Amino acid sequence: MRRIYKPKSKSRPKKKGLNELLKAYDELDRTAKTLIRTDYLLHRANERFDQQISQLHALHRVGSSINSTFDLELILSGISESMTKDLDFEKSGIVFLEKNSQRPLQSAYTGFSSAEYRLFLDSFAELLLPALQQEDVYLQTAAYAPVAWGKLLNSLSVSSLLLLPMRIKSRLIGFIVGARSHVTVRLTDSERRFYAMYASQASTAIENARLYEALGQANLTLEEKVQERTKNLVAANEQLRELDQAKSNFISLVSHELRTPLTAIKGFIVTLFHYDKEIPEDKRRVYLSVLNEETDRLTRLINELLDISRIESGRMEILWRPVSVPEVAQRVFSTLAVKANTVKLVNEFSDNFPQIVADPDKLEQVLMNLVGNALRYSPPESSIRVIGHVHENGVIIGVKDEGPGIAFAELEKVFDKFYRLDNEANRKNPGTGLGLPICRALINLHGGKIWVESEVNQGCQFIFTLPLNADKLEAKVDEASRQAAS
Amino acid sequence: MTLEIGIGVSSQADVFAAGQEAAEQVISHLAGRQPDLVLVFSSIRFADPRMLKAVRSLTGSAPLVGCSDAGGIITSGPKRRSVTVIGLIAKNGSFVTGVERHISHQPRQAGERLADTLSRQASQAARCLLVFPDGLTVSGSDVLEGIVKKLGRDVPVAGGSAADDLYFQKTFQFYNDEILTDSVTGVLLCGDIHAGIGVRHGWVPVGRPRRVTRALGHIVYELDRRPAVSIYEDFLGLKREELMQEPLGSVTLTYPLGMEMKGQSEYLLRDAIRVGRAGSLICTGGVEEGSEVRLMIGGYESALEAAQQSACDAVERLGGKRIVGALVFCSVARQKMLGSEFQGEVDVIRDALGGSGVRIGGFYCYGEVAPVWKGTGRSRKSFPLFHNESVVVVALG
Repeated sequence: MRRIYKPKSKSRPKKKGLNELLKAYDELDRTAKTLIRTDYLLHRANERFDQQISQLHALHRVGSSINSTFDLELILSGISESMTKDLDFEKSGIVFLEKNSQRPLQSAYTGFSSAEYRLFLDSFAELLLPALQQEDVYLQTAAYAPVAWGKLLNSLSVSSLLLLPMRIKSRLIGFIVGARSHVTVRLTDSERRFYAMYASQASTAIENARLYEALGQANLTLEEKVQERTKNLVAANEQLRELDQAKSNFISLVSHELRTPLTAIKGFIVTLFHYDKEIPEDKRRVYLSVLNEETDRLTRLINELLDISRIESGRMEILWRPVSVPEVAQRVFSTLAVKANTVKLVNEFSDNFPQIVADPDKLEQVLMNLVGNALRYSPPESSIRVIGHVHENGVIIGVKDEGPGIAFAELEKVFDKFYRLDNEANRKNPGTGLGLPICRALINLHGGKIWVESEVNQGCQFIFTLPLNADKLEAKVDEASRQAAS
Repeated sequence: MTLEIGIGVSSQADVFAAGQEAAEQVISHLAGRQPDLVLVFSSIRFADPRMLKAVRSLTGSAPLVGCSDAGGIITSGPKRRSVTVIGLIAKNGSFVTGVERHISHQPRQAGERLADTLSRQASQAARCLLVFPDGLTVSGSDVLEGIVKKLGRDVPVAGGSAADDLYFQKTFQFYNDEILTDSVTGVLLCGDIHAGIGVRHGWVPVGRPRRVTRALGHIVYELDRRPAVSIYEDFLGLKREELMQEPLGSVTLTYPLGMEMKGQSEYLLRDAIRVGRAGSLICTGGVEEGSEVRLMIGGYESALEAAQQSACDAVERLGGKRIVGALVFCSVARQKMLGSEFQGEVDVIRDALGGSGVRIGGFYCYGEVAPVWKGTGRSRKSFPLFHNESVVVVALG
């Protein structure tokens, strides 16, 4: 019996021990699995952490290099180099697009040969632009690429190509490209986030540089504008000062001109008033005639001043009528016939001299003035001729005398207000100094020109042109008929 | 001093300018002289003939070998997205370089041919072989097997597999002016050059072992008669589709498979870089059928301790020669595991080598090559192995 039990009693604890050992071994294996799984997760977390740190480093590096300058070219090459150095792309580039046409404008690249890069940019419209509009991080890998992309990757000798659009307020301003000969099949979410951040960092730097440049340009333009405005202001100021000066001069001249006849009038009136009885009849007549002349002169002066003021304020109206200039001249001659005395007044109008459209009263005023002036300077027995010819689209009329003439230096001045030639005739019989300026203004209102030609001791000739002005009458007729119709 | 070393680095945007800048630093370290050998390790962005042209415009006709990496290593610490240039001058030594192309269909033969060409060209005694195979197209173990077959076990072999910045798509090898892929480059250090090599990782096993029930070369089909990938499904709680979607490397780099080695304190590690058909695991190095594998886990402290130990081993194996510089071939997995603290590893290596007076150059790779020692005393023998997740320190004197 003992023999039977012996082996049993001996083998049982052995088997039990082995089983326990195996059980412990399996438990150890399970513990190892738990250990490995925990360790694996820890490793993964650590790896992600390390990856993010190195991405942050890359962002920091590219940021500090491109934000230290506003030079667009330096920024572009900085980004392209960072793509290679920090992100391991064998070939990389950055393209900045033209704002309106969205065509590549400026660019920098690393690793590509110039031929490869040209080939890459040639595919812009067909491949790149649609891709850029599609995704924020666009990846093409040779094994999975559509035919056109496959061809491009092949000719660039790369297997994967990454496109990162750069946007400012959703507008595409450019893109970054990175390519490798090794295959990148897909990107993790964290990689995508990183690349998007990278591109946005680049776009901000580029936009800042562009804004800075634009600001500089705006500053320059502003400065130019300020300078221009200042110049205009100075000129306007100068003009105002001149106008002010002219006004002061005018007022002082006018007061002077008004005072002269008034003084004379006052003098004669005082004399007549105090010495009424003592003054002989013939002298009294002379006094009264002077008084009459001076009041006439005053009236003329005031009328002329009113004319000038009307002309200058644009209130002078022209009443357009068909006018025969020879007839007007004849009327002027008749009026001045007595005054002319021995001076001959001659009308010399060509046969084909046409009728023109003008304001007859104004025209008479002009001729009266010119012939009147001529009379004042004409020696006895000389003649004054009014000559009329057809000229271009109108007529040309000259008033020619045989008087002392006008010095060359003074030819233009005679048309200035209150300018009077300093000569004996004027001292004896002063005019108002407004006649010729009024004449010029009236002729100008008719669309003509007036000037004077003269040489000392050769007489002088005032010449003016007048257009036919037929349309003025038609316009008037049209208006009248329209009014009648309505 | 028979050996001199100069190291330069650049991360300029333009690849030509970067090559030039790094080479200029090398020349200035070498007091204006051109080096006898140029090693170049760079990020894939710089794997461009223009970069090599720029380097060679300064280093002249000196032979150049190197590969693309997942980060460079220089004296001051690790450097990502850069090109690292190392220049060596050996007064009483010589360098023989070689390359084998299209190695993926016959990796062992390619290793044999490379070793053969190099040893036949060597006019002095071979002291150490540095190799830089493609890290994705072949199993580093296969290439190494071929090399050892021709070169024997007396010449220590060290190096690292080319990487591609953790894309796991395509790596490049540099040979003089050429940018190659699916190739292996190597340089035999001969004559009065001494190399002490250390290799460590610091990873520890977790969970119970799994038997490799079916494997061929670097492909593991089954573990415990289940599809190999199920080990990751079980441990990480991830579905197979999830594992296939991401480059598997980014998961298995953190938790490699470990094989116990007799007489060694550390496990031999294997990274699976892809999930193959029917849930197989495609590794960068060979896994033997019938062996037991365990899932491995790394820790910050043990990783740094291992780095320090690797450097100490290297100095010790230099056998009392004065150290003038060191090459470091470090697994990208360590960079990943240490995360933002990965600078610390180069710091402890530098301290263990004797401070900043010792120039350090190297790169982060997809697999490491270094010998391990078996036995004690006189019977102590070294045999080269292909490692993963490890840090190889080659102390030069």
